[in-house]
Amino acid sequence: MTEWGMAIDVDRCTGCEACVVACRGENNVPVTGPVESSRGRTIEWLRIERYMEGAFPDVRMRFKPVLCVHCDNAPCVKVCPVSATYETPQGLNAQIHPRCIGTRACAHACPYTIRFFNWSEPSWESPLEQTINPDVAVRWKGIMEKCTFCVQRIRRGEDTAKEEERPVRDGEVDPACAQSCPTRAITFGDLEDPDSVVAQLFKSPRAELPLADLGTGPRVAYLQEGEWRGSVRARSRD
Amino acid sequence: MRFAISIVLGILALSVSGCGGNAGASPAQPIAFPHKLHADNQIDCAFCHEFYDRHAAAGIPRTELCGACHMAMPQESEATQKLMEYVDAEEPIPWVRLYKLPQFTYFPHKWHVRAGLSCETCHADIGQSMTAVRHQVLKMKWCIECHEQEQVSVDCVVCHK
Amino acid sequence: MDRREFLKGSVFAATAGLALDACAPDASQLIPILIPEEPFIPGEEIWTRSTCFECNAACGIQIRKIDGRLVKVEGNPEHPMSRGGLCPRGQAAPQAMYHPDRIRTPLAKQEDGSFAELTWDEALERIANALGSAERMDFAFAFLTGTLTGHRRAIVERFLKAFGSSDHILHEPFSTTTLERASTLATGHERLADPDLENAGYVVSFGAEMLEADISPVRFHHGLAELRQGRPGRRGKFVMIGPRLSLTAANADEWIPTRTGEEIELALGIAHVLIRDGRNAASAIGASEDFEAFRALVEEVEPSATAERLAQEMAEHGPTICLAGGSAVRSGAGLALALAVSHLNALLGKNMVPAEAPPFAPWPALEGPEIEKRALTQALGSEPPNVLFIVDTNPLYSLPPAFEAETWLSSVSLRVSFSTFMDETTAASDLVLPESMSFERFEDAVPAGAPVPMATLAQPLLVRTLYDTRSMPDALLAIAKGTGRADAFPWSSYEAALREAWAGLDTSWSDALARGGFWSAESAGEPGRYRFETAAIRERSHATPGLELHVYASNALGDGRSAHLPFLQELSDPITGIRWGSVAEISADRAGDLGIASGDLVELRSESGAIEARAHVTPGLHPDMVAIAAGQGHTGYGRYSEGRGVNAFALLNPASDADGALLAGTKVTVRKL
Repeated sequence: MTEWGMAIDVDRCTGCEACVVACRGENNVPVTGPVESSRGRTIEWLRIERYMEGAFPDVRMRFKPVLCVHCDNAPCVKVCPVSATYETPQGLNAQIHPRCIGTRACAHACPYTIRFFNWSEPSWESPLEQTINPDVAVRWKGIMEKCTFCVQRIRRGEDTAKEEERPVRDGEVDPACAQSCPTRAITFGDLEDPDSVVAQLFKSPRAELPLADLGTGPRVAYLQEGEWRGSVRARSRD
Repeated sequence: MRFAISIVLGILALSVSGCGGNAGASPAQPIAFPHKLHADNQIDCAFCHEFYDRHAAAGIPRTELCGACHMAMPQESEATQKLMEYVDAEEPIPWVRLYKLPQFTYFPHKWHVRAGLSCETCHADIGQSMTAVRHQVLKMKWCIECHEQEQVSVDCVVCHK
Repeated sequence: MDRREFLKGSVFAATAGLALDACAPDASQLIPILIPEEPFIPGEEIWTRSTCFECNAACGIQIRKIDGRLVKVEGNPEHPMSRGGLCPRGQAAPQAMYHPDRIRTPLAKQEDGSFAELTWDEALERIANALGSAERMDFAFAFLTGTLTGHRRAIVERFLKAFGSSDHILHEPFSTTTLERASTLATGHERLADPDLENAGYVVSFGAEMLEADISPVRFHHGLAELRQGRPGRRGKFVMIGPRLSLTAANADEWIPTRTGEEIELALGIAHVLIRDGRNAASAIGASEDFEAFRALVEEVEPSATAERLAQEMAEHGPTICLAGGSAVRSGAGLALALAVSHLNALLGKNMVPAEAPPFAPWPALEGPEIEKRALTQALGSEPPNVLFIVDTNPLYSLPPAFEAETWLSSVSLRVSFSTFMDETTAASDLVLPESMSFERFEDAVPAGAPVPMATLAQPLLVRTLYDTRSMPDALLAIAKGTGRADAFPWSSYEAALREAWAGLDTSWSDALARGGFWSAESAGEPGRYRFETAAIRERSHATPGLELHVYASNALGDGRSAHLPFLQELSDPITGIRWGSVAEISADRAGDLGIASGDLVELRSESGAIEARAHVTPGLHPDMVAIAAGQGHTGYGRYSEGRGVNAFALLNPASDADGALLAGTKVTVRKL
């Protein structure tokens, strides 16, 4: 069985936010507008977290794309009173929108803070609704939404493979964020397939699972090396 | 008591406007289209619904396709005249959906056809009807029952999007 | 109602609400009504290659069409520069296509200042009447454009020629013209070379905020990632020199803060060390007179400790590439910096040779005056033309108002704007010819800094345009026809004109459309003799003390032309985090002195104007600088940009060089309100 996972190379990531907009366009993520946005109600399934360290002139900045890590042992699943969120056999943490009653318990439970509540009815001022991706549900006021690992793109990939009577090839399925990335920082694939690029990257000494000590079992790994130490690396890696 | 009433009302509201609509309902169409006359003339379902076993949607014919046949046919009837107006104006005919799935579901028509489901399972004898009637209310329970019976995945994201 | 009853009520409300919403948005129509019927398979996606025109980089894209609608843009994996990647601005392009505030018909300014709709025929007739007097001695006609490339530029200049004018006026706030000028002086090539970051060991940017703006952000993002992680066992270093911890600087291994205008001193100091220590490739260059002049010049510059260290690292960890750009090349020392950086590359043995231009088949020769390009800031000093065509530029937003372009423009008798949106300059025009969105028209582009000879194509993706719009070149063809100059444009359409030119390339038209353009495998041309041009460096202006304004291109909004898209307004700035607005960045040291904290309302005042914004106190800024992103503060340009934030250009003093308005050197005061 396929188990989808993602590796994000933070050394490659530049924080340009192309992935954030790609995700918005792909997944019909609503624009909340200036007022709601100023109340911290922006919905971004994928966001870039920025970290600034140091004092002038030795200031350093790092960027980290943060999205649902599709936990193996997800806190959100445990707290949902109506089972609107669950773990699929392929390792996705799915949100079933018509089931959700908007308790927001999952958002409180999520240590990665990547679950979003629709505080207002999403709107697309005509004719912007023409840009809605028909492969993805439009959510409504009062329910939660979150990253799906672009399940609709996985579905299309699987459909093509099924038509051609073959398994899905490694690298064939990419979520919108990975596809758009100008630096190729995001790798997506099957963690169960030991030969897949993403499975290899999970084994890299640079790989780190976010907040892994909480026991959540993330399926997203971050790869990071640290500082420049002369033009040759201290250790040759991957 | 009031609690019970509100729950009942709620469920009622849900079923009345359930996404499939009522069984037996026949929404008003821009043109009174008789499936029967077409089927009786040995036109295969697939001639018009050409994607039925190849794509996610079965497809409805483009106005040109309607026009291509009807151009060479008698055009007296009111319905045909209406059709030819759309053909001449090169405009799509605003057909009203009979089987309306909620926007948060994914239904690939092709895999259901290829799994060997007969058209009648969902569409009954539409080929023999003069007005298109909704035969089946599309309820999740109904989908699940079949999926379970046929041992097909009942994982939520298989159908929910 | 007690709590229990309230809850009962809400169970009902929630369930009923669910029932109502379950099918929303209403999908009862089988075919979306807005779209003219065209063959599509419901639910099946069609991908078509094209070119992104959201900035001047001309990235390759592929557009996803489903159910007759354009819903998504992704990168074209074959494009040699963008390689399948795409920036936020490109991703947001479908919102421009289906923007509620697109101009839908030609418009004419009424006496009361409002616009009235008119037909294309009426609009073209008005233009024909105005241009009919082109033979008159006292008649002047000009084009005012942003940076145009490919045949979009060719047809504009051909049109000028056909109507006896040589006057091509340019306005592009963050233009690469200065870099091209330096390149021409040093190498003889106007075209910019690809820096080949992938194979570099050490990269130094002198003010070039190449991840946000300049030549091709997507290409530089990729290059930087490869520099870091593309080669197992080897990791390059990237050093950024500039006033602000920009997105580019934040991604550098080292940020060296400077005031804008001081970058050049560091560049010259490094050159001094390289030549002094004999760590240069000058032996290969040969002892020429111009090199000796450069050597003499840099010997006068006392290298700082930083210059000493950078020179050493550059020489040891090469191949080294130096880049200039950003507002640093739009300062009083702009051309000097561009030249000095070019000379550094030459000293380090990096010969920046551009790829050949794509060998288009030339259009039939046309008699007419030689085109003379000049910056709008220069044109402002001369008599305004009688008729002015405005294309791809918005000076009433992005040229500092202190230049008084509005007064100059208002004395033009007929201002014709070709625009998809009602931007500030279009709103001040007499006649508006709505241009089709780039997804609705044929267009080509020749990207700057290409690694191989290449050109990219855009093609219409829908059977019909959404509204009564035409492409600017097609409108020009119609105007030429209406004024009896059809002989100069022997094509039935712009598409035909493009096909004729593209026949010179080693590709069929259909292949080019399928691939999204043409690119050949061969890389850069032969290097010519390098010239160590020093005149502009000697004459450079020097930074003066005092708090100065730093205007930079926004990552999401660019110079303001992407501010109309809600996706980009809602995107948080990668450094300040601001959405839907502006902040004034003030360094932590300076803010401490002035008693300003983040979130305070402050007034920035220059000789030319004042603006109010919330302060964003940051350690990532030189204490002598105050920074504001360009892009916000529109007074028009659609519902999503109007009135959002402040316009940083409004503060700039009216200083200019040959390439246009300077973006650096304006002194400001900051006051807490």
